[in-house]
Amino acid sequence: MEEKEVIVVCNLSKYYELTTFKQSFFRSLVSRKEKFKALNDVSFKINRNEIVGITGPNGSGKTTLLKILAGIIPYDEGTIKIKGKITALLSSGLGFHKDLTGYDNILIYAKSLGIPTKVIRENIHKILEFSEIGKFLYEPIKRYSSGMLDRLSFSVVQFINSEIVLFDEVFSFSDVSFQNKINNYIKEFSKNKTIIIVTHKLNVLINLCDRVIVLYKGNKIADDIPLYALNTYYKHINLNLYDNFQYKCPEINFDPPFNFNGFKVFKCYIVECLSNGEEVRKQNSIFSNQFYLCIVSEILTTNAELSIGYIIMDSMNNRLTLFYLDTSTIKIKYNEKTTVKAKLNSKIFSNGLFKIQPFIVNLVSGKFIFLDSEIFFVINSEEKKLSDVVYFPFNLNVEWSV
Amino acid sequence: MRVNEKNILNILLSKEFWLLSLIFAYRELKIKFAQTRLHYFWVILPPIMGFVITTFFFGRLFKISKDIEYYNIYAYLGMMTWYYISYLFLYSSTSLIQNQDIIQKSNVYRLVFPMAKVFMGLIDLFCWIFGAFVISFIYGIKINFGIFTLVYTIPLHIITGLTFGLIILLFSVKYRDIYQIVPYIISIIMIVTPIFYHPYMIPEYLRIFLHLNPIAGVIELYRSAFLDGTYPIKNFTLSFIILILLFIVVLLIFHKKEKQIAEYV
Repeated sequence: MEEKEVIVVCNLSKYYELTTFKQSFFRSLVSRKEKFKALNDVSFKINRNEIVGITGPNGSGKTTLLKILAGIIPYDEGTIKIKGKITALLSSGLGFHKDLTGYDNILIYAKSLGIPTKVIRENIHKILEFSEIGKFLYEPIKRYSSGMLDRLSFSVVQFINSEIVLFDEVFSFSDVSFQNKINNYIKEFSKNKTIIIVTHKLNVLINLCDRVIVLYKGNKIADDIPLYALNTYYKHINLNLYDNFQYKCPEINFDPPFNFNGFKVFKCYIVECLSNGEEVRKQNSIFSNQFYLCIVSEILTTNAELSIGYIIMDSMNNRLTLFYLDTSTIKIKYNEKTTVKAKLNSKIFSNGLFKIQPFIVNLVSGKFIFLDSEIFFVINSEEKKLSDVVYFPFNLNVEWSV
Repeated sequence: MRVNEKNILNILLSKEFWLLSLIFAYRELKIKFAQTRLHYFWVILPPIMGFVITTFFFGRLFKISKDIEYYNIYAYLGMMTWYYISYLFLYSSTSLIQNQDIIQKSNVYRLVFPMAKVFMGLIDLFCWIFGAFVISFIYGIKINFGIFTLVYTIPLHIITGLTFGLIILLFSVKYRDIYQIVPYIISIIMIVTPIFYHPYMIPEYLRIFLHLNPIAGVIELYRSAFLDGTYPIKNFTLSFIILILLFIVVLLIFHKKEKQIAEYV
């Protein structure tokens, strides 16, 4: 163990016993349970005064790891070396009782974290100031809102005097301004402490942590500076997506045509535009981002007020951007089946799954009518891009043609 | 005090362990009297009820009450001992389940929770003992030097209850079947222990079992502290020695099993 290292974990494994199927009473008396590997050969080192984030999908073993580090549960294989005292905040307001007053609860909670009662009594004004509880302090906490409880329980953190502090999703209920306060606070707090944070929140991981460890089904898949680690994490998740979209064609057909006030949509699909202007129809939904993407729609319109547009969403259905055909600058022929193309530079997309939802817009009233179908496409390029974490295609430069 | 501590003596001798136990006892106390008008005033209720029951019910109804001088205080002391022991029996054994959420997510030393119950019960016990002094005063019983035996009687009393509670607790960490029979164990012990009757009423050949019962020993210790001419204490010496050894063994087993508790509770 080197001088600056405070936690060294080597080949750590942890098993849980599982009942994987419904057992009859008699069989349950004799049968042995299946073993489930919650952590598999995890190794890492943490240095002094570092803020390390741990993330990963649900059930990937993050909390198990923290519990083992805190010494709450035993582990089966491997070694752990820890230098210094650990305080674990695995859930906010642990042991709070609904019938007790905020003051009593905070006193007991602080004591169970190893903070002397005297410190709390003397610094109660600091707690009041930090938690913004005000005159509710001597009320039973059953009258508190969940945000107030969160703030109250977080307010004792400032008195923790151990060298290593573990946080597990302590940011859940608080509002934006208090979260900001917590973030600033942890930054301040970390000057002489080592901090490990388990969270799903991107902004915490990116802005607060020096390093991020990603767990996936009990394995450590990344241990890097935040953006690179998250990049690996999202690629890992997307691997499954690629398999699903391998055989899907990026096309939707409307039969009968989608009709709205004389605006008909027959078909929407994506083609790849090569650098020499050639258009390639793909048999699957996977595109590289060397070329241009062209969204093609076949429409027939009799109404001059209506036009077509698209919304681009990410895999979580977050709307990223929208654009529509402005018929005042680009004229389309009425009463005739027309093919409308929108060309996008696919370099703006990060790796991952995207969805395109077509809509019809009334250019006069600004009203939208969404078509309930989506076109999926997956961008899969080999190069490692930082933007994989934050999906934001800025300066969307769309070339429309009819 | 944290779970990783290697040596149990370090824990028992640390100030933090006792302060933590006290703060959890404070929590129990606050919860017990939450939303009551009279608040802590209710702690005087059990001794008063004990006095009423022993004086006006048992004292009038039982035939034996005429054989024993000051029967009501005699039975009151038995009831007092039993009250605390059954409290520890029931509550220290379930204290871990009661504090499940804390145990699963915090590394507070687990012995704190049964210990909190000990302190919680002590408040009642001291009220009972104070009540015993008051009743002695009312009935004009002279209190002599025997009262100083309370110095070791009370710790012995605590150890008796805690040992029984911890045994049940250790047997129920993984499987809780034992809780199904705890009420029956308690009522059997209550019958075989001379709480409301005199040990001399047990036939001679069965008295060896009585002498192995440390609860009976504690009751007799209290009685000898307040009254004269009771059952000889030296008969219980063996049971006290066994009890203390058992207590140490139980503590060591608890310390060894302690790390697994969070997984099963």
